[in-house]
Amino acid sequence: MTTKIKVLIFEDRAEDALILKETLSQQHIEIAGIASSYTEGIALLNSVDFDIALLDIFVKGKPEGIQFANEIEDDKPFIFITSSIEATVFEEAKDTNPHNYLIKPYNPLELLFAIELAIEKSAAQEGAFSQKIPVHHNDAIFIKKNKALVKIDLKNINYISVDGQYCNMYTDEQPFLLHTSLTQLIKEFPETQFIRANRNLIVNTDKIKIVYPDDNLIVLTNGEKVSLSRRYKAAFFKNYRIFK
Amino acid sequence: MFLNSSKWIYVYCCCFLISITVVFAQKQEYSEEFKKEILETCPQCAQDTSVFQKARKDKFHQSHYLFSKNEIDSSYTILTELLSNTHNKEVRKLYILNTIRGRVLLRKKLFDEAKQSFETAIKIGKQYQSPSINNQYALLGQIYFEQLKFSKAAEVFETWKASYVKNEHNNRINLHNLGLCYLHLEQYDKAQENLLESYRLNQKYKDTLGLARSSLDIANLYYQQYKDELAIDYFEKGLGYAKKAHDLEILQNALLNLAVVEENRKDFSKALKYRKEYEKIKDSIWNKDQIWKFAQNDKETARQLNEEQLKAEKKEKIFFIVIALLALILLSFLSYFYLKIRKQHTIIRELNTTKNKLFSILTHDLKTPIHTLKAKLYTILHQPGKNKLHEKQRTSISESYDLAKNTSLLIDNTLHWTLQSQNKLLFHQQKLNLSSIVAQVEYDYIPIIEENKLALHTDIDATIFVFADGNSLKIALRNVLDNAIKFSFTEGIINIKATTENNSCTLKIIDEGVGFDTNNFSRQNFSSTPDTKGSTSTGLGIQLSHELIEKNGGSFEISSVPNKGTTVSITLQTNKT
Repeated sequence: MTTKIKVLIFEDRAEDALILKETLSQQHIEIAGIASSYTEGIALLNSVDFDIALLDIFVKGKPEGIQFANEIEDDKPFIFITSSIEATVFEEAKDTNPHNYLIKPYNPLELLFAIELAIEKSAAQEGAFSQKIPVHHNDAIFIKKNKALVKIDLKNINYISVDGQYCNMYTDEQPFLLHTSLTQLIKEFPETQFIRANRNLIVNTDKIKIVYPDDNLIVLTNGEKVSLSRRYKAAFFKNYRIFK
Repeated sequence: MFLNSSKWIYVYCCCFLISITVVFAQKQEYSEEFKKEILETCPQCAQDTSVFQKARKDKFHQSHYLFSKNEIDSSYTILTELLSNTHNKEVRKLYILNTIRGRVLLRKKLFDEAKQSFETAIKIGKQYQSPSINNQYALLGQIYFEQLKFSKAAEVFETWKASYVKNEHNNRINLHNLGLCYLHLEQYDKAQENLLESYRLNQKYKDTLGLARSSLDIANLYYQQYKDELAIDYFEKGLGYAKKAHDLEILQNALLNLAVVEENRKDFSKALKYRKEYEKIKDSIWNKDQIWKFAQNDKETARQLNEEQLKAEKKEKIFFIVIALLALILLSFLSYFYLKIRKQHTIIRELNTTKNKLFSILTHDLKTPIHTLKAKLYTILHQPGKNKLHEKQRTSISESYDLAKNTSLLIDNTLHWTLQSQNKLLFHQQKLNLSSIVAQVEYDYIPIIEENKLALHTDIDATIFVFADGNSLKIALRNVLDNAIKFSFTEGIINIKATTENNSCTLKIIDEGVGFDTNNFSRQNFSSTPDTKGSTSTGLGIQLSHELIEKNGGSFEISSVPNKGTTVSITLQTNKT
């Protein structure tokens, strides 16, 4: 199942928050929550799930955004938003290692680009999206599809098969073309979760319903069938005890 | 000044008969007429009646000034120089110069040369009937006298006497000398006449020394004529005057004369008394001479020491003065600049505060609402089909959007420009996708491009990355694109292309608009070319773009052909350097 990217907003100006909300929804991005103060922000951090945080540096005239940034988990990317372009403001913000800055005012493309860049940076895969390379971060894959940024949790992937020099990723909903090689993906993905079924395909073990070793066939939970080649059978079964 | 100036005429009277030499020293000063002549001739003295005060540059002046100051050697050098200058044809000056030269030589006892000088002076003086000429006769007479040519001397003195001026202070000396000439020539009548006249004049001027001399010489005259009574009377008078005059030489002469006279009279006790007194004075003179000599030596040594010390002190003084002056100059400069800088500093600080206030107004009170306005107008223009706008409404909203967009850019430019010039602009270079950045910039121009029916073709490979600061790069691109649109004709084409080469990427923004003559183009003066709607921009934008691209380590070039269009080439680094 594909999911929208979830964004946590830290912004005290209602008008600015509204613009953000509208722009994000146009870009098919979900709002995880909006906090207009430090305490509200902390409460949100503990209660909602999000992929990226957008923080206004100055909340109520104080650099609360910087303070709040320190509370965010290390693996979650965040972006500082400010209307100032004075270097002094950023000097203070620098220590929190933000993944990007966004200068107000911004247009929807700029917002989206800032988010993309932040995600790329947190996964240390700068420039990936523009080359349609999937970004793998926090047990999920982020890809750009039709100008929209989508997130696919690894657990929702059925299997990935080679398509020419790229790969096709199959979920229950739709396939995604990934501009990357299968070999590259195997390297990145958790070893036990994705196993090679044949030369051109890796399968998500969580999605396997039945395996027919004699028929060299794997049936997935959604009923799809993938072939299990003899060459990879041994390696495939190494992780399983077989009851005959 | 003249009165103390000369002390240099010596007249000797030798009393042959009694083998006694009477030394007769008498001051001979400038005559009034001669003084007057110098005053009239010398421009320096004429200016300043307290003449000879200062050594002036004028050589003529120096010649008589130095002479009056008893610096006869220096005076002589100048005199010779002036006289050898054959261009000097001013008779009066020549007369004066020759006279003074004569006097110098006389003091040096170079009688023949002195005589020559005076004769020349007299010759010149006669040409214009110098009023002081007769004084020179007297001096010439003295020379003959000194040379013991008494008849010649008497002759010259008589010439002097023929035209002498009464009440002249030198008269009594000259008369005395004339008398002495006759005495030597044994013409006692004339001698007596002149000596007595001189005696009277000395009485008149209360010149004790002169009286002493006159008395002694008259005494000698009488004594030579064997008028012993009269002679002794005058000798004793002479002794009295000599004692009063405190002139040891005269006194000695008087005593010696009297001693000889008394001895001849066989009054040995008196003679002995005079002789003893004479010896005593002789000793005291010797002592005085010795002491004077020692004193002179001492003085000389002291003077030399003093001079050396003075020289050293002078050097030191000059050194310190120079140092002090330099320090003073430096100090005054420093304090001047310090004050100036402090004043400027205060002004700048005030200006800075004002500027900062202005900034917050610009950023928060202007920037944001204008953008909101822009964004809202954008939404209206792009709202889906349902409530289609009328053509008129569309146009006016589009124009409003354009206005808001321009204002927004202007504000942004101003902000960036000011911060950039203060080096306070946010600057964070990172790896950026060029096509993405260009798309973000283009986004705001979509309504304008549609409105003007422009065709914007962007062809940038999605895999091109540049290493730049996103904010400043976008500002630069905004300005360039804004210009390209502004200067494009309706239905024009704008091409945006990117090419990579090694570690750099060149982005070209090409329009087919108005263009301009690159010859009239300088970085400081853009603008002035009206755009296709007739308005002109400030030129700040392009200038700012140029600077920001350079700050990013790139280059910014503009090429243009009037009515063909403009191409802006921006070259950026693709990798971190």
